[in-house]
Amino acid sequence: MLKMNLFKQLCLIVLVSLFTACHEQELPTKERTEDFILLQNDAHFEGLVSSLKGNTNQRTATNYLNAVDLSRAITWYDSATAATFYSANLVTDVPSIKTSFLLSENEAGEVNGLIIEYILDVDWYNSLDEFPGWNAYNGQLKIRSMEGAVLYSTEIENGATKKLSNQRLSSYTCVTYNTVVGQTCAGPGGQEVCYPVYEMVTECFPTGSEGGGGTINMADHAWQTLPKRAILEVDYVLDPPGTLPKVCGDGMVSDGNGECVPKPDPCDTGNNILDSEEIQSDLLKIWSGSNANNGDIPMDERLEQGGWIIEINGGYDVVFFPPTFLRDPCGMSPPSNWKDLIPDNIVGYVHSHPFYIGENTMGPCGTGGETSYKGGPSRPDYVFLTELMNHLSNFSIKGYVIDGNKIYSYDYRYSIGIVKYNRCGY
Amino acid sequence: MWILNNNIMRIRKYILVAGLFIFTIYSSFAQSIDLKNNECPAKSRLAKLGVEIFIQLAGSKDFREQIGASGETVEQVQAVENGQTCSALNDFISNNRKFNNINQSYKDTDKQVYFYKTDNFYYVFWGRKPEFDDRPATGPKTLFIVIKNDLSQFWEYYF
Repeated sequence: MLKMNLFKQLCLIVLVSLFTACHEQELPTKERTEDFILLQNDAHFEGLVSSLKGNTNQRTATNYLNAVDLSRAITWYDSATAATFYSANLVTDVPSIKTSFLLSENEAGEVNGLIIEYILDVDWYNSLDEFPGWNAYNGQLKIRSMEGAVLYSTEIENGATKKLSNQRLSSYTCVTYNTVVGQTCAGPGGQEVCYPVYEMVTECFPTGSEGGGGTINMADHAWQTLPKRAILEVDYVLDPPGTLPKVCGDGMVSDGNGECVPKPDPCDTGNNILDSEEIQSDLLKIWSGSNANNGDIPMDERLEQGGWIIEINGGYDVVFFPPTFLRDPCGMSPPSNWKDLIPDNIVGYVHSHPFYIGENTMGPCGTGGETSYKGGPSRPDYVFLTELMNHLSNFSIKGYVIDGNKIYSYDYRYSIGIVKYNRCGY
Repeated sequence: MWILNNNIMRIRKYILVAGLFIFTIYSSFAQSIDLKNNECPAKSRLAKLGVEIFIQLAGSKDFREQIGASGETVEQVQAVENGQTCSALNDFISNNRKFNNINQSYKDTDKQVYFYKTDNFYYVFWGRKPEFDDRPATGPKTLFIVIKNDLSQFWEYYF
């Protein structure tokens, strides 16, 4: 009797083990359809993201992968490339930029990722009386490698490529449109109202000659996996379909947070970094995210924002600090692994002081704060820069502080002092 | 009359006992304050770096010249570790309403007071605790007190 029981138990264990093993190997079925399918907390997608994480020790890539919103993704099968694509949002703090993660998985199980940035043209957006549809969209599109390098950069006018800043990819044209991927319902029981859920789609396809003439052959590069389609999701919490965008008057632009602010003066400082259009655009985003567009905004509602300044493709760009940098009106506290988050080719770091000269900062910053804000980098700001320089053994890195009045540049030469610039670009 | 005297005696006795009780409590409390007052704050690598930067900073040059601190060097910077000096510096904070308010406001936070010195000056300021030395944070300018080493004079600087 005992032997029988043991035998039965053994069989049961073997069967359970086999079932578990099979179950572990069997990832959720991938539907082969060119329709767009909305996935929620999909185990297969999460597994693919994890596999990418496990295969990289590159800081920027890890940073991107950690910010992927795994709870919601779009998938589709592209017969032209025989690959399944997944698109998900990256969690960022800058509402005027939609950043998506695009993952491709081919028949051989090879997995590649790309980062897609969609930057709203705030002037265009605020000049509208009503939303004209995505086929009239104006803004910027950037496709980056997982390492953060810009592979493709273009301006989109009326939904199509306006100009290409990266001539290597001049043989590509992109168009943008909307597609319905489902519906969302909200409201009390029995009174739910449902709306279609749209996803903005950008299709990039070859137009004209490829390669030759000094251009780089696609096969040589990671961006050879540039998918036929790149899904760019719109945050309908921020931009619900059918709502009218805010219209700003002459000489005003949106601050990216729904408010109109005076159009900033462009920078002509003689400082290459500040005079870069890309950096000025980034400064505007940093200042908008700081919620300090005017001195009437309560100080405890403002936030320091910032990022790493990198040199890339002969220009400059800001890689914004990830959400793991804790922010308050008086500082930003990085996570303990902050050194792993520093991108390659860093030339500086920039952050905001969301204050105006003369403001009493003791409220948000504590009793040790200044009764009259005087601007400029603080002791912690210098310490941060010094730690950064020491870690990278790079003493040419500069710190930048932007506030309501000025831009301050400072470096390791404490004895040389701070260079002040009039506020520009934001 | 006898009853009245007896009551007075009894009241005196109670007062004496109560006085002794209060004195005992006060003595032990005062002793504990003294012990705490002698304690030196924990050291921090980043706090020390902050003092080193102050000593080299162009923005503080005029201030350092004005108070006679332009001869202080980075090599001289070290934490105050002498109990008597820490006691004196703790008293210095406690006896100044503004400094004491600041010090109290940082209790139970991630910040603490720091005592550093060079040959001729003490530096008292508040910053993140040493456990955050692995992650420098940006932050606002805050009060940085420079004190003559005989405690005869002090100057406030926001840095």
